[in-house]
Amino acid sequence: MVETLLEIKNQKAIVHVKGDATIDTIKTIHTVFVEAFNSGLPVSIDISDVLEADGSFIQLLRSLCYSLIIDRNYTVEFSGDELSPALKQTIMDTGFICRPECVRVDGIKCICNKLMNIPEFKLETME
Amino acid sequence: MGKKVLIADDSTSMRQMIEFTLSDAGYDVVQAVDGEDAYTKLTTDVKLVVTDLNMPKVTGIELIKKIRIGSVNKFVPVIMLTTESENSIKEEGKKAGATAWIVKPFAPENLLDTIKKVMG
Amino acid sequence: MTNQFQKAFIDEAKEIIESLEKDLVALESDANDSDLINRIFRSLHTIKGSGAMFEFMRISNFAHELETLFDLVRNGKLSISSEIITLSLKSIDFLKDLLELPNGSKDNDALEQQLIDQIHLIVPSDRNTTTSGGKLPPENRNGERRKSSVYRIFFKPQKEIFLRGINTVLILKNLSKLGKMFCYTHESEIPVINEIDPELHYTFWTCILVTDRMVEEIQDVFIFVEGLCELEISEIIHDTEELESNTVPMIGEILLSKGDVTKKEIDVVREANKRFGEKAIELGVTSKDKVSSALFEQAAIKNVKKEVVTNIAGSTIRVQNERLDTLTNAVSELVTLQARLTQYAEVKRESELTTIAEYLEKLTLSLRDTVMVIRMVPVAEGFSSMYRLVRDLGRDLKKKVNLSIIGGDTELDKAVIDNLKDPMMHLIRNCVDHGLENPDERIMQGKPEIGQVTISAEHIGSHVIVSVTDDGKGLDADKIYSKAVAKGLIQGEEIMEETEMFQLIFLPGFSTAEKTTSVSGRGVGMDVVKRNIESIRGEVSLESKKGVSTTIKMKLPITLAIIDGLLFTVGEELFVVNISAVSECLELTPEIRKAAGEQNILRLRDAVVPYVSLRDLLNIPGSPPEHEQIIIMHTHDQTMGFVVDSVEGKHQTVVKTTGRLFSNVKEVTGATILGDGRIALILDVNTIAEKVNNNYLMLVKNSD
Repeated sequence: MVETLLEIKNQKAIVHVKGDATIDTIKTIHTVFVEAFNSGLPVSIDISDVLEADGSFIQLLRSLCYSLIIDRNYTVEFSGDELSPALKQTIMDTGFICRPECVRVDGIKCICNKLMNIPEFKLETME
Repeated sequence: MGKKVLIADDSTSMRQMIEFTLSDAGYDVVQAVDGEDAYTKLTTDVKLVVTDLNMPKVTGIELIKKIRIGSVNKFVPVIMLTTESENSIKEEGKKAGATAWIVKPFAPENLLDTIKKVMG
Repeated sequence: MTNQFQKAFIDEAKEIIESLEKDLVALESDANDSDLINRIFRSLHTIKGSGAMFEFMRISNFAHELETLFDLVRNGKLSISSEIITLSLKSIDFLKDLLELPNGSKDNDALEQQLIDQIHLIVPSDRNTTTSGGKLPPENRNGERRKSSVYRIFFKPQKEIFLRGINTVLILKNLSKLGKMFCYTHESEIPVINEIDPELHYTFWTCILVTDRMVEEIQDVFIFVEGLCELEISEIIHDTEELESNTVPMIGEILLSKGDVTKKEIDVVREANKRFGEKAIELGVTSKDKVSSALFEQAAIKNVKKEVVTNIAGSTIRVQNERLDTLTNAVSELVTLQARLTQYAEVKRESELTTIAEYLEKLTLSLRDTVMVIRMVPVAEGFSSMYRLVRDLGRDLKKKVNLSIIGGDTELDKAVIDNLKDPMMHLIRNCVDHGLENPDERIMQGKPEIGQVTISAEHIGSHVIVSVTDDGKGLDADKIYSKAVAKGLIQGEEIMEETEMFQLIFLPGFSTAEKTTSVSGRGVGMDVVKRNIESIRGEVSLESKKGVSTTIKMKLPITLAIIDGLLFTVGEELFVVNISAVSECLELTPEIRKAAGEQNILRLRDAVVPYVSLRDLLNIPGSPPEHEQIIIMHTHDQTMGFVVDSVEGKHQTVVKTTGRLFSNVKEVTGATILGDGRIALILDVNTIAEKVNNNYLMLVKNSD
């Protein structure tokens, strides 16, 4: 089960997601993400109460991130408390956290990683 | 409360054995005697379906198809119980949308392993 | 399995059989009722499946026979006859009997076989051989340490994979349990938020997995998504310990191995002389996603490498030298004893004895190899004291010097390293004292103020080359030559090439220092270095470029404890020489003698080779046999033949030091005990050649 809420506050669209963010509930979450995006406001996400997540949620999160970058040249912001250990684990397991930079748009720091406070995999390039 | 698992098998002894194994491992088990019974018992909180393939009324294959097409829980993992001789049916089950399978006879640990593989 | 379930099964099976009987009778009157047929099939199937579950194997197997028959009926391949009905009913009766019997009873065997035979008459027998379907998980070989490999796993699920109830994150999680995993997510196909169908799967992965598991175990993780994804598992590094010596692959190499770019494209990109990834994207050869993935792989491999290196370093223990020597000695004696046993067993020809001897031989050799590995020490450890030496020398001589060690992880036998310490100290002193110029001088010559001394070590075949290089003034060949003349070491009439003149400094009594300093030139010359190195079966050579550099190269055996030797006899005595010095053996025929005349020179193809009788040289009593042998050997600067009585063959030799008794006999570097308990002396070819040259003055340069 999932609870979603879109809150417009201080010129910000804040999305709250609570519960299970999995394939069963992803449509609901998608709807609220789209609403937040279409508001035209900077988007902030509070997912500290997500108990369980799977690939569909992480992928949707990245889609939002990326959409904001190419549309407005800034990305999503995270509010709320620390992520639950379960969600962190999922994000680590899926390998979404390994790069400090956005892999799709040059020169954009991957704020997702930073704000999720997950240790990033040090990438030393050598050619 | 453990995760809810729905078992569909027309063999009472099989259902009992599976229930015993899963309850012991901390799952909540709901039994169904055939595919039709199983479909009515499939609620959104069911986290896994374990189904035999050869069942009266609605077969295992038909059950999987019904789950995947427009049920309340269409993404639920489904483990089918097959036997060695049913290779072609197993393929049919995969096509219908089964997540995994286990070949009878199996040891209880074997079933638990497979369950862990599909739902963690 | 609990009895409770077995009892439940028996009750259930009885019920099923009851309805089966009813159905069969009904089928006789309506042979085409497909509902009936399906129900019968299903009943049999349940008995078979559940029976097997609750360990009623006999019931399950028998039900399987009957089920096969009804499977044919069900598929229209067999039509119902009264014969089939009768047989089925008989079989059902038999099943009923089985249910009443205690488990595993042997009654009714004849009846069972009779029924099965009758069923087989109707069912073509090849249908009965069911082949095993899914792959069984591979057996875990306990205890055996497998090497760690690095795998690249490309995993791209179908977009519809969620509708199979498959959780891809779980698959990755299960994969990561097999070892250490680095996971790269390809996000390039994830659509923007307004276009994404959130129930489809757009993400795919390239995972780098370091594991000691077998590839089958990796495949097993993906067993339920077979056919539902693109999956490519490739082993990119076979043994992570190789990583220690190997370099990390280049981006271009990684892209090439994944098939993302072609060799030709790599060449084009390389020409640009820019970061490969950037340029490749710029030229449109590949995508940003693919380059990022390759960069990620490279970083992962680097990470693995670092870990491997620290793991190896972290898992060492220190052992006292004496203990190691005791162990080596014990193993050497064991090898000798084992050789004796093998010889004895060969003579005795007793099968039990031979078996024991063979097994012992295998064990002993593996033990010996292990001990040899334990004795290996990285040269950096042995040479660490050189940093201090260089620093102190620099201060004393008012020179600025920097020392670097290259290939410090190259390994050598501890005994070799110990023997190398004195010569190395001497060489380093020479470098700093004679080689390097004063800082002012260096600046005047446009050289960096700080002089560079480099020790490098590298593995070549069964040898390690250790060299000491300085970037100082180099050797003055003419000065060396005239000094050698002045010291009476050479006549002064010889015509020499520059490299030959350099070799003069290895002659005893030569020292190039014009004034004796406190640091070097105190009577210990390069001849001592040379002798030291040769005493451990090494070779020394020298290269120099005036005003640029001087390099002393030492070719050293990896171990001292064992040599591959050639065994031969002269009179009563047994000798061994290092086989790597031997080029061939031939018989000393009367023709050779005749052609040689007084000179003891033989023509070997295009070369003239001097030869010498070891009997004469070593003063061995007795008279030579009728047919003598010549062993042709390479010393470091010439080819020479040694006349011996007979050549016994190859012999792997455990070297024992000869102690004080032989310390004055430079020709003998050690001894070895043969399988039969006899002792053979190990000869140093170079020392003998030197002796020959001094005694007979018969130096004929090798013509090649």
